[in-house]
Amino acid sequence: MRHAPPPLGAPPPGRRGRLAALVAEMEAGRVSHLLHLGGCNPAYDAPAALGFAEALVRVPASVHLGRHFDETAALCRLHAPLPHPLEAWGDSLAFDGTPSLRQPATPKLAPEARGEAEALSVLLGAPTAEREAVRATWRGVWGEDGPGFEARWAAALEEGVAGAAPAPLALPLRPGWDAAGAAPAAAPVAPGLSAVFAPDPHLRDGAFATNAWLQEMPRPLTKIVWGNAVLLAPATAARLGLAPGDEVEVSLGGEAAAPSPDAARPGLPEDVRPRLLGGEQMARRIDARPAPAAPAALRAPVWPAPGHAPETATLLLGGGRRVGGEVVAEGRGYDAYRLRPADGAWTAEGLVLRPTGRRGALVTTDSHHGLDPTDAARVVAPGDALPPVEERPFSLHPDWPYPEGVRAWGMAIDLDACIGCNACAVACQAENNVPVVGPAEVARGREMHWLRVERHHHGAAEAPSGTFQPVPCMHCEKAPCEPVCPVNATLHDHEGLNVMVHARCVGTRTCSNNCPYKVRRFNWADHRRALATPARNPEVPLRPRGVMEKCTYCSHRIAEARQRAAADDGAGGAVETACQRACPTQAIAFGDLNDPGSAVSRARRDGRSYALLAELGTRPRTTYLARVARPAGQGAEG
Amino acid sequence: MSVGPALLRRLGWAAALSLAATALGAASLSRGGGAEAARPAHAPEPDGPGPAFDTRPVARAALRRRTGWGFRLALSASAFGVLVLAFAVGVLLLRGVGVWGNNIPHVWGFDLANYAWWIGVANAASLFAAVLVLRRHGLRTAVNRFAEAAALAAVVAAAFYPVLHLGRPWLAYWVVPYPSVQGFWPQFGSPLVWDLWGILSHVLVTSTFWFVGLIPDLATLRDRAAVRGRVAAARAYGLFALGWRGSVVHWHRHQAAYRMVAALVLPLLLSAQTVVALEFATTVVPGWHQARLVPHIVLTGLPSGLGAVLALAAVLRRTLDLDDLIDDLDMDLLSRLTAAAALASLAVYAHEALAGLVLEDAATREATAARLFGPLAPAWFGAVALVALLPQALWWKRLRTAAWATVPIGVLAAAGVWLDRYSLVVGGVLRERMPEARPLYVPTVDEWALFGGTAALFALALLVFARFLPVVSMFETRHEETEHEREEEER
Repeated sequence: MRHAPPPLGAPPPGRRGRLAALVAEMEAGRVSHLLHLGGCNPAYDAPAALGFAEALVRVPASVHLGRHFDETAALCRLHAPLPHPLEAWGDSLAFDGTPSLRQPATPKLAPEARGEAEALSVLLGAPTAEREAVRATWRGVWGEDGPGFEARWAAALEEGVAGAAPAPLALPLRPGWDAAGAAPAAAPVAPGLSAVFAPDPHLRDGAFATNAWLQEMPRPLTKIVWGNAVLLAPATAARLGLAPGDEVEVSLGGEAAAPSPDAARPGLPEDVRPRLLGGEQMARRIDARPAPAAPAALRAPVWPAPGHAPETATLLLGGGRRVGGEVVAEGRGYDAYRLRPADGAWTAEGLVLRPTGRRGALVTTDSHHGLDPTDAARVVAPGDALPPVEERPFSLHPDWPYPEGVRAWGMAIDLDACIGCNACAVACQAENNVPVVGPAEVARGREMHWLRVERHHHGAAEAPSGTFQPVPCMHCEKAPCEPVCPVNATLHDHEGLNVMVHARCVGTRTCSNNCPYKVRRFNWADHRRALATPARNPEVPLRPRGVMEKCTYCSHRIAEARQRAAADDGAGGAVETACQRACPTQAIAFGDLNDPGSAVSRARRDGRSYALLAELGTRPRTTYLARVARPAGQGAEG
Repeated sequence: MSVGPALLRRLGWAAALSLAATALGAASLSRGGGAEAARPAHAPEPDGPGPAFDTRPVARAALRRRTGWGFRLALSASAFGVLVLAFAVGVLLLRGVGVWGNNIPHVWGFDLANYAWWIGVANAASLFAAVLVLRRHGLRTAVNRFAEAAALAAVVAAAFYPVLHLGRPWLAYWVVPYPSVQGFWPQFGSPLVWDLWGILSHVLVTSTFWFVGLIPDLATLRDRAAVRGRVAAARAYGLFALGWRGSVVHWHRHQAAYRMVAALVLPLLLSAQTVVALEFATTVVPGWHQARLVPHIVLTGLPSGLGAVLALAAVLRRTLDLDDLIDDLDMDLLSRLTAAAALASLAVYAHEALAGLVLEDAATREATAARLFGPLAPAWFGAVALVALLPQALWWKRLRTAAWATVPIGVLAAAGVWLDRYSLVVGGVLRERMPEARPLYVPTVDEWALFGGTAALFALALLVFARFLPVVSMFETRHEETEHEREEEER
């Protein structure tokens, strides 16, 4: 483990206070020009009680620079599109502080777009191209000019990094940091629940709400997609008589008497409307926002989450965006900023949940809210090994004959390392052109993810332990899907991959019936038009309506490696799947099972190695390493 | 006079006759054929008052020029239903199976449930007709013709689903082994390929069975149409009568062919329904992976087919004034057969509950519990009530001949088997190997339209059949009549 200093230094103190001061200045009419940089969106993500949006329309000259036309852009007099970082010159700091130079990976998709540096230089009266601005910065940092700088610049561009990370910090643990009995003093009991404001696991503060991949990816703990819910402890939900998905009216009791800032929200001044970018329609839409009934309250579905603190409600930020296109269209969750205290506090007391008697519009891929009595995700005590599973001795299907010297692809997923972040699943979706189907289709059970991350709870609902389990195709040696296909559309290849031949598939779906892992996905609709954008991966074909698809172990990467190996005369040829490359904890190992030195072979020899549903005799190529934890009842886990 | 006494005696024989006796009977059959040939079928018959027992009402029904308003209404309704079917198929082809309510893991729903149900109706009906022909049962004169017709119509309705449920139905022919540039053959290990052969042979054998049995009667209709001066009708009937003249050689060959095809129907009971059952039983889905599924599907299929034939018989004898030809004893026997099939189904259900909840492994027990007591519990218990329990009422003699009892019981038995198939296809995957509970499958309007459309097609086929073809086998009725006369003479 390495402790790195914060790349940008400690945040300056009193930032929130400065925003409040700015709003006060704006309301007083003392702000003549307001510039929003970097796609910031305070009209949405500032606490509604602060009244930023109302103050913004009073600023005579307001400009928004951003990649999306969002709530702030809609209220500004001018919105200018910002190019994507991959379209523009720039520099960045990695998580550990390593500086890097950024070159455009593509010509600008909109040639008129100007990066922030260029736009700022124009406003400052000395127009500078982005590349020149970056070079000027690094001239200063390196303190060099002339041929020395040029050489160093070229070298940094080639390497991609412009220096080393700062030295790691040696941080000793405070003695007695884990001593028991240091529980914080009990908070004063307020009527109602405690509210905790937390960023959405995928949308963060709402900045990523325009990303359909993230919207449709089931949230790690709740499996909710395309929206959010008020999270409660199961015991609290039971006390309040709330079932999962019941709609409640959420209000902060202490503010009940105060006039609602939302109710007082003014319409746009008439003279502003025609000048709004996005036109009259957008202005109407903003005006048409329903003024919530005073006191400030919002409606949201509730979701009991095992392990949640009792008598507390988690309000997730990032939902309920109002402007930003189809992906953030109305109805994608509730907007917790409307309840957030004006000072931007992360907690509030006196939260009142009043059932409306309706069901909230909530889509989740998890309809088993309780605990999983299954042994799909295994847990072993530290130092222990799993008991060996008896292989089925007999099979009607003969073993596959493999040619000499071929590779046997396999994958091992370490459940002890998996943190359930879904990075693998999003990487898989991006890599393999997996379509986004929308909330209605997900509600019908038609999501298309090739890789899903299951979460299992063990132990009591009040304090469960959890295990995340990514489930891709198992590429079974004795794949149940293969013999049932009437047209030979799913086959075993010479390296042991279970390959899906989309062109041959007629769509009987019987392979999905016979897949005990339920990893096969069917194209219920034709998604090709939506996917045929420059963002798609040209290496992976788009699938037509009516065919099955599933995880291929990134077979296009395997094919590319094979070609590379042939060209390199046998050298090279390592393959990294998209999920493996994206995993921040390196929980996924992929490689050749015939090579005893490969990571996946080493994982197979580990005492924690097991196969999912091994008792069926499918002999999966994907195996797991059990999670290491003390058995339930022997104290908390790490 | 009526066929009653003869039928009663035949019932007694039927209980006692062995296969050897069936062979012995061939001699009497050929004599019967000779007797029929003595009165050539193409000889004009007077339309005036004939013997008390004659087949003229049957032929009149087929040759009448005008039909009643009730028939026209039924025809219009079913024709409209077939239009709905065409619309549903059009929508399905244009927009894909996504218009249905299926998902993962409910990749099958109405498609396979309805398919299995129609196959069950067809199988039980044609099995029933074939057994009657092979045992030369007196009842066959009354019901086997429309039992065959119902079987054929049900097979046609069933045949829609294996093709239409595909993601890409226009590629369904890839299941057929043919030399193609792709160099690919079907996967012969897949039960879906067996299914192709199962339903193909079912269509071929059922339609041959029905058609061969129809030939002498087509000749009769040809001749009677000619007598009435209806040349076009006579030519149409004559085309399909294949030049039948009623010679002894014709009768001989016809009987041989008819009984051979009837014998071919018997393995269909094992092929078609077994293949349907194997589509489920060969998967690793714990709720399906059971050897008992094959006898389950075959045996519970019987009440649906018999129930459909029973209801049809009760309706036909009323609406077409065929009380003499389909008499109370026929209805009595048919009712008792239905009740017996229901009794067998009761045993099957008892075994299902016992095996699934107690004897099987843990995964299967959980799956069965989810199916029996989960959200689809009404389907399973409804099936038990309608298929196995309700037809037991037919053991009461008074109910067996009462149309108000037999029609609803027959129809409800068929509906109960549908519930059974739905419970199997949808409820069987409620609980699988992975701890994954997913949205329940809910059929959409398109699926109901398709199902209603196939039912309308079934009805339309039977109505057209009842309009243009003899619903009761005329030549066998005459044959039975001559046999009966001979018995009287012998006495």
